[in-house]
Amino acid sequence: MKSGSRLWAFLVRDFLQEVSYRTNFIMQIVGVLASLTVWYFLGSFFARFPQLAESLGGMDYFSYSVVGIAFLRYLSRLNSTFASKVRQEQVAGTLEAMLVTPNRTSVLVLMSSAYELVSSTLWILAWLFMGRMFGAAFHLPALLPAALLLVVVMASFASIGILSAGMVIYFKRGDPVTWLLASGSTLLGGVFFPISILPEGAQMLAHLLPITHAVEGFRQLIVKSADLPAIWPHLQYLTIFAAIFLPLGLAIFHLALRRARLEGTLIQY
Amino acid sequence: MPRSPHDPAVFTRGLCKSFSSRRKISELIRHPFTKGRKIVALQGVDLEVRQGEIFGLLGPNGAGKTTLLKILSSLVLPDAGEARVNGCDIMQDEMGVRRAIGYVTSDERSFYWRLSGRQNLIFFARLFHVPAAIISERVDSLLRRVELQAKGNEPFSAFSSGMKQRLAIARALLHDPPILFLDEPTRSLDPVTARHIREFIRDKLAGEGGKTILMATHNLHEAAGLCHRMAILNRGQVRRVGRLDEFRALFAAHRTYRIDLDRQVNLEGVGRLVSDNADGEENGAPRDTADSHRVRLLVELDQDSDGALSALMARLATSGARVLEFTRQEPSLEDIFDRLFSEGSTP
Repeated sequence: MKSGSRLWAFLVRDFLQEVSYRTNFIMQIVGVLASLTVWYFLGSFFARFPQLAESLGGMDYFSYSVVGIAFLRYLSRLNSTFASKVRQEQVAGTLEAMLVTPNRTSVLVLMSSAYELVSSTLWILAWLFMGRMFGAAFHLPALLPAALLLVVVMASFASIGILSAGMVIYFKRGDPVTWLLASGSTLLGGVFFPISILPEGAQMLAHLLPITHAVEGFRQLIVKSADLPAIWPHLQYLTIFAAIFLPLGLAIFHLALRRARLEGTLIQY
Repeated sequence: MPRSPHDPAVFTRGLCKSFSSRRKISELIRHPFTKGRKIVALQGVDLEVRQGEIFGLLGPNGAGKTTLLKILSSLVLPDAGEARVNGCDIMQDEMGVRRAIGYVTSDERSFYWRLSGRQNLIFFARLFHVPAAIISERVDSLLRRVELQAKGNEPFSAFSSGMKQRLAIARALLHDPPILFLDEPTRSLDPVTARHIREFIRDKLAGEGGKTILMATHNLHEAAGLCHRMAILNRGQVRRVGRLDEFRALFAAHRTYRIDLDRQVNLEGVGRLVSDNADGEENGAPRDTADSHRVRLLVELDQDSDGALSALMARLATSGARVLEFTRQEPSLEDIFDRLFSEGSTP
């Protein structure tokens, strides 16, 4: 009950702040449409090479890339949201005011990011929906596998985000985790091209990245209308990843928090 | 909760805190494994704040006032020592401490500028676990109490400094805590607004509300006008704790006399005359005044030196100096605190 009330407080706060920037929503829509247009024409161009579909697992390039981009963006937002929320509160001067309320700091940071989690998820749905409008070969996925996959994707992406927030609390600037993961995921995650064309060593690395499993799983679900067994290996890997990195991220976050309170640097930025 | 009304609202014993200074990059390269220089913020602070009193923490900038408040608010962990707030140990029961306190800073940035004052209070009310059913009523009542009911729906960014400070006080009262920590509550406010805030603290918070208030300030007049007792903090140490009249009494050992003389006298002779009767060359040195016909002597004599004063007056008279005005001067607050702050300080 209390958690629900606090969660609601954060959702309302961030929604009110978001709508106070009136042109922001319109700019986001325009950005989505402009981006989709680029990928639509790129997809149309690649459609002239039928052998390409074979290496993309029978998918057209537009559908392939729209799913890839959706989850690259999701990864990027979930990785950075916790750290950026901590930093925003530090810079805005509101962190101290929140920290003297009777709530655990980790709960405050997690709840601060709730709106971003919700809006990022809605953004993905909107992006995929508009991709479908542009002609992507998407089908409505089976609900249970899609929901399960979304939950483990969210948990594994967020685990790195929480670890990254710990780094921001302690080091203030410089967050190598997010940077490395974002760069690695863009290059190796099978977002823009299949990982099968990468050198063998890079392919091994690619399989370690959560985004590889996220995009591949969702491509199976919404482009190939696959069911649970087809995404099972991805579901398994992401669950293991989240099971390792979520507690690790929280532990590092708590450690950083304690050090910052000892050193008196919690609200410095 | 304190067990009895006589238990202190805030108690600290041997509280110590030091911070490492930031190291330059060149230092880090030359000595990567050595730690930065320690800056001592608090050294063995012992304090007891009684329930229902307004207690001032006075000290110059860097004395350790804010660090102490942050430790008591569980924002910063101490290196050593113990502290209890409303009976809750700050290390063992952080949530108990936070439930018992309202913390008011002078930082105007501690609110969300794009939300209204009311929306800000509703947000913080939920974080303070105020039951949802009474949040609206509580927020309205507090806005009325701090006289912001008419401005509650305006964006925080449109608030004046005084309004922001009043909203910060309202936020600290959302969960009706028994103890308030105020860190420089009137800093950056104009004199009239500052006076209103002080009256509000004294009459509404401490008077009607019965709150215990621990207030950090370097405004001597504010402390003198508000605080029942105060602690003089300097370089992280508590130099003295007491009431203002107790501090004034410390000066009873010395009395300062102001003697205005007609300028048509031999000032050198007068200077020598006074030096013979008072300690130190500066003591009694002639000073100019706004009145070009007058010269002023400030002479500090021991309390039991009535004989010395008589002798001085007699010698002034025989030297031909014309005394225009003679008054015994009460030490100003600045004099008192200047002496208290410098007690035990090593240059």
